[in-house]
Formats: sequence, C-alpha cells, structure tokens
Amino acid sequence: MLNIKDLYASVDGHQILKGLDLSVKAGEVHAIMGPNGSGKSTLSKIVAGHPQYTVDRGSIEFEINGAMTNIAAMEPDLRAREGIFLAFQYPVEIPGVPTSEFLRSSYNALARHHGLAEMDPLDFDPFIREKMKVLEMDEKYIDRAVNVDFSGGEKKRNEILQMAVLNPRLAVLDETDSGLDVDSMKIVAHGVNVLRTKRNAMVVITHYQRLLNYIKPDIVHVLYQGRIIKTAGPELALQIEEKGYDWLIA
Amino acid sequence: MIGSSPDMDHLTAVPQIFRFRRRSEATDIMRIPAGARHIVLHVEEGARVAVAGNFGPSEVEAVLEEGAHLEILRVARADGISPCVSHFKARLAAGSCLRSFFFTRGESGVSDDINVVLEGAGAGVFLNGLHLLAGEAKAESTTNIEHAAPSTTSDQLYKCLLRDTSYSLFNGRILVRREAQLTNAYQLNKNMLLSTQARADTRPELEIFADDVKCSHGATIGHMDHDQLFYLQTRGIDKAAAGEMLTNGFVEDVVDRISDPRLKNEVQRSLR
Repeated sequence: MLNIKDLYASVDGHQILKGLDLSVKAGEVHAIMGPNGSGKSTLSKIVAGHPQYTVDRGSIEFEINGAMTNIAAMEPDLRAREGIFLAFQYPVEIPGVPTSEFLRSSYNALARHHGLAEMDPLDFDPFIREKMKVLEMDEKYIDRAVNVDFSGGEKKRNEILQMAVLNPRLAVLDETDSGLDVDSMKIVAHGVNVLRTKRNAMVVITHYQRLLNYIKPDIVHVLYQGRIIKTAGPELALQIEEKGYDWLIA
Repeated sequence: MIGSSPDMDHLTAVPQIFRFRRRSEATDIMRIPAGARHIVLHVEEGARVAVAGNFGPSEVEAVLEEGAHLEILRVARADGISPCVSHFKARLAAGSCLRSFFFTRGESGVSDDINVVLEGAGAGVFLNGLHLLAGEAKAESTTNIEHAAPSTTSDQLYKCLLRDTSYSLFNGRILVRREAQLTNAYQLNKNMLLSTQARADTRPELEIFADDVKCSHGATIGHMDHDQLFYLQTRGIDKAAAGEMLTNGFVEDVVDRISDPRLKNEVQRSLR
C-alpha cells in the first residue's frame, strides 16, 4: 500500500533522507528505529506532506482506489482524506478551537470525500465519547481547545483518538511513546491495537524498544543517516534494546 | 440604577451618572445610550453589574467601591470618516473587580485610551481587546494600569486580526508603585497578519518600584502559524477551511474570557 523508492528529501537545504526504500503492505506493522538525527521524523513528515520538506529524488507511492499513485506533490489534506494519518511526536496546540469541533470537522472532511453521510454534533457526541472510553480519556478534554492545557500524555492519547476517528489505512506513529509513563503507554498501545486490522497498516517510529512490547511489529527497520541499513523480524528490536545501535553502524 | 439626565444633550459633555446601589445585583445588562458622550458608572460597595454599549467617540468613567464587580463590553464599528476615539477610566477600591472587553471592527480609525488605577488592596482588573481590521484601518490601543495597593492583579489580553493594509499599535504601560507589593501583572498582545501589507507594532512599558511582584508581558506579530495549518491539514481539513478555523480560534480565545454569558453571546452574535 506504501512504496517508497530511493527517496532523497531535505529541509531548509539540509539533505536528511538519502536513498530510503520502504515497502509496506496492508495488515503489516513496521517499526522504524534509529539513533537521534537519523531522519525518522523527516520520514514521517514527508509521508504526511509537510510543505517545508522537499522530495529531491525518488518516489512515494500510495495505493489510491486500487492503483499505486505518486503522492509526492499531493497536499497533506488530500493525503489524509485518502487514508494517511500521522500521529505527531509534538502535537500542535490550537487555541480557541474546541477539540469536539475539530474532530467533527476532520471526520466530516473525510466523510464528504468518500461520499458518506456527515455527522451533526448530536450524532458525533456519542460516537466520540465511545472512542474516548477505549483510550481512558477524561471527557472534559472534549470541551477544551485542541491540545491546550492537555498534559503530555493526554496529547498523545488525543493523537490516537484522532486516529480512531479517521480510521486511516496507513498510520505513521512518530515517537508516540516519548513522554509517556508505562501506564499511559499501555493505554495508548491498547488504543492502537484495537485499530489494527488486515486492511490497514502502521509504521511505528520509535527510539526505544519498549513501545514494541505493546505494539508488536511484523518487521523492524533501522534508519541511519537517511537510509534503511537493516531490516529484520521483531527480534531485531530486542537486539537493539540489548546492544544499542553501535554494532549496526560500525 | 438611576439615570440622572434622561434628556441629555449629545453635544455638551455633561456627564450622565449611573449609580448601582450597594450590594445590588442588576439582573439585566445596562445599556449605555447610543451617542452618549460622557458617562460615569458608579458601582457601590458589593454591587454587581454588566454594562454594554456601542458607544463611539466618548468618555466613560467607572468608580468601583469595595467589593464591587463591573463587566463592561464596548462594541465599536470603525467605519466613519473620523476616527472613533474613546477614553475609559476606572478607579478600583479594595477587593473590587473590573472586566472589560473592547471590540472593534471596521475599515477606518479607532483609538482607545484606557486608564485603570488599582487603589485598594486585592483589586483586580481584566482587560481584553479584540480588533478586526481591514482596508486602511488604523487602530491604536493604549492601556495604562497603575498598581497603587498591595495584592492587586491586572491581566490584559489584546488581540488584533489584520487584513489588507491595516495597522495596529498597542501601547501597554504597567506602573507598580512601591506600596503595591505582591502585585500580579500580566500583559499579552497578539497580532495575526492576514496580508503581506498589514502591520502591527507593540510597545510594552513596565515601571516597577515594588520588589515582591510578578510581572510579565509578551507580544507576537506574525502570519498564520504553519505548524497549526499543517496539523489541521493532516486531519483532512483543506487549507482554506483550516485557515478559517485558525482565525476563528484566534478570536474565540479572547472572546472566551468574557465572563458574563449574555455579554459573550452578544459578541459571538456580532462575529457571525
């Protein structure tokens, strides 16, 4: 469903990705690990379509209506409507916009795109509260402005809540475990696992192995200096936990 | 409430005095008559009142006795030929609380001059402002807060949304006198520029003579936030709708600080 070939990408004139290849099929969970500064976050932003990141070479293909389509020039909102979701490492605060209204606008944007019925606030309210229960989120957050006065952990839960609302085909989780204590991480991981199906795929970007105890990957990649330098099964994450990255880099 | 001169003369600036009796609570919003030039609001000890007006060029004075509460909403349309100039002065006795929301929209000039003296211990003032400017509008807001007694609070949030070639200037002065220990004073001025030709200036001025105080000020002038836009777009919301959401949010954030639900409703209605 996602096929990245020989991708070179830069931000502010700095080359970050240097010939990255990644192929993800429906039903798979991929973990991308790597030391700081290897390009993990850049990869997530490039897939989501951040305007400050440029694709210099290579292609990013995503399956749309059964056909692999190069999305490198596609607006981020259209990518999202086609089923790509990015859970942010640092979720953005949007003062003055209530979370409920934001989530409903987002849901309706996708519904319109796919010719489905939109929801009014009365329909949406029970729908969203049900999803919040899975993530053990306090209902008070629904009335607050998006991510404003949310704790670090609540922001991360809010990302997964958005994922649950949009039900993407491809979810990229960028360091979702950073800043989470173990209990919160279990809840977030449970929220993610509930959404895991044979139809969708996930790319879990993480610096540490611990999240992968709860979200079990099928394939583990190591990203270093802008390229995937090793791909293996889940055992690779455990080896990294034990030995660090040095043995892979040398 | 007693209106002293129902047949006031609009041309002479003889003050029209409104008095809110001790410990009374006005159930209705008091309306400042359109065209009023000089108004005095005298809120006696422990009285609570909400005041609204579309007053244009004018002078409004408020006197708050001990424990009095006044919330005042000013809505102005700056569309005339001459700038809309208004002066607002307030004196606050111990434990009293003043909240204000000055709202302007339009394409011509507006100038607000606000002077508040916190005379009694524990008094608090919450000044909020919102200018929605377009065309060649020029807005100047000057606030002058004097902390003259201990444990007083001032909190200001002024926001400006600027289109076309409009311009905003915010002058915010906070004076903390030596006797005003344990003062809390906050000031924030935020300007969102929606065109490349809109401009804004901000001039904070803090004079602090007491040593045990908390004082802070901040200002932002900038275009729409790219990270916020991107975030909304990654949730399927197209760029135009995301931009509208962000400008509405920018405005709503300050409107939210209106405490009286009726006054808040009034502002929200006029924003639609």
